[in-house]
Amino acid sequence: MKRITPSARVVSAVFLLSSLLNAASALTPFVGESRLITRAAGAATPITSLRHTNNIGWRLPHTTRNNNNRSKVLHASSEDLSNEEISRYSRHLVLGNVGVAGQRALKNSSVLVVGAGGLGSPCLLYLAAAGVGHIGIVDADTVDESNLQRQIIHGTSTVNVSKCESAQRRIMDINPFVNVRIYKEEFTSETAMRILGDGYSETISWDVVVDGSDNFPTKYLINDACDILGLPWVYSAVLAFEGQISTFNYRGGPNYRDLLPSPPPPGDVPSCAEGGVLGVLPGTLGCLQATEVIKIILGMEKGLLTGRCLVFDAIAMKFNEIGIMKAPDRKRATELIDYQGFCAGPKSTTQQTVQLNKINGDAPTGSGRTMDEALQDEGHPPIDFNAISPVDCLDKLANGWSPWVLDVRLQSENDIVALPFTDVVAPHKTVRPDHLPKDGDVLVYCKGGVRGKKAIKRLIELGVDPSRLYNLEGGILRWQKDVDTQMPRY
Amino acid sequence: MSPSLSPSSSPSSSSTNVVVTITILFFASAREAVGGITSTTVELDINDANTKTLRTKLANLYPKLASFVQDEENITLALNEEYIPMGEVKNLKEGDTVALIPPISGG
Repeated sequence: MKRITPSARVVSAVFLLSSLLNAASALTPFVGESRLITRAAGAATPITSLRHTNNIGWRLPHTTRNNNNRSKVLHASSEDLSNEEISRYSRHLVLGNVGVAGQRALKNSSVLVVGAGGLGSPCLLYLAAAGVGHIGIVDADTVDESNLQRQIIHGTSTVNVSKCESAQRRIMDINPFVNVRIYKEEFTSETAMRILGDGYSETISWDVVVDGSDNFPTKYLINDACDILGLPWVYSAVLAFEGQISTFNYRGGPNYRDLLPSPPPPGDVPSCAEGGVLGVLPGTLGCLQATEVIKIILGMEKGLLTGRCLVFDAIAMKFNEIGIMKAPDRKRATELIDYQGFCAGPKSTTQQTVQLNKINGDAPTGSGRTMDEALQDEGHPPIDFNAISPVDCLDKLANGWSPWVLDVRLQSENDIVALPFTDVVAPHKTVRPDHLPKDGDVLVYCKGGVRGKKAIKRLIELGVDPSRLYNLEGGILRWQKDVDTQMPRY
Repeated sequence: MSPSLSPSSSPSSSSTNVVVTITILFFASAREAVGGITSTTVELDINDANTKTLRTKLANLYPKLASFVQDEENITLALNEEYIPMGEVKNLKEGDTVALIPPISGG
């Protein structure tokens, strides 16, 4: 309380609040805190009527959680703000809608962030800085150089470190008053209920879930798991220059299935790895997600993104809105399904075995396959054509093989790096037989090997003899790894 | 020959208000498919102005957009900022705005 800060006004405000706080704690917690709450004109009721803490730091034992029907049993949590915390959060404490009660609600809250990538990074940074007391992070990946253009919680010093640990380190540096629990594992139908259901600890269940995933299967999984458990979650998705954000399942409100009842056909929607993304875009959306989470915790219901999806267009610099209604015939989820199979479409569901839901698959350290590519790869029946590994390909070339070489990636990818003997660049969805000579072998390649397969499938359907077609297994990424390590990776 | 006496003449002269003008907003890959424009207006016959005929009209106007607009799973349609549930055909009025929002999943 004696701490000197540069602003006299803040010092006095902090002093005032601190005095009030001390005075309040001399009374019974409930009465004292109620006074504090009524001090701030127009202050909202913090979260906790929604979940299992009340607005002053009381918390329902997590075992009493039964969807939206909460037991009335309360037990006190003695979470007071220390002098250091009062100084740290002074800009919040003087703010009408936060104040001491709100800051305490933040301290007592627990938020699970699924994916510490482009969206998760800024969201985690702000949740930590804001003093969200318990933060969970789910991510099985390690930090890759290609992440750093947008995944700002990580840094050059944590390349190859687990994203969970990298994020945890940064959070502890920002705010040591925050407790972090990490899950270095995939978020799948097998792990989701344990991670979500167990909460931060035995007595602290999750209040809000943040979607920092980058693929459709994980978004449907988060949706259904939160529906089963009665948890609100903040959705977002980004691509290129555009982002979407909405709050789902808030007090039984609309959810992801009301916005997108069935997933788009696999392969139709590019991932960020394929389509690119402006680095700051997930920053914008991730910050909006953090704003939603904080408002939910503070009980600022008015203006939450429930029942509407905000669409941000960074090119036009405009926000548009889509109102979403809960579909009258939509039933509450009762169990999790195979989301990979669900998103791979009806044709392939019979082939689905155990597959992993990668949360953020756009920057794999090994195979270079994106989520969509992996999905497509495993979701379709095999096609009969030649596959050739980069090493075998090099051998064959050295022995006089001279195929026509077709790059089925985008021109922008070809500009980054290409096989020097490429004859034609034709993105896999647009490839036609007239891109090839009338006869002779054709070597098809892409980034990770999957778009090559799609291109070959298309060429076969358009009448090209399958025996002429060779797909470079593992694409240019494996060529870089096995043949020419001097090439850049992207 | 006055218009009132020529029922078989071209639609534009057969009555005073035969079309409704709809504003279309394009997002993400739908915008790419129409050559980068953010919005346009289309005219629909007043007797058949609904989201189904709009989908067909857009598919004809922009062949690259056909696969989006003809398959409901490929795009979200919003009428005057309200989501149109899958399978629903909405009647459209003069001045309505329909947004074409393809699903995205990046993060």
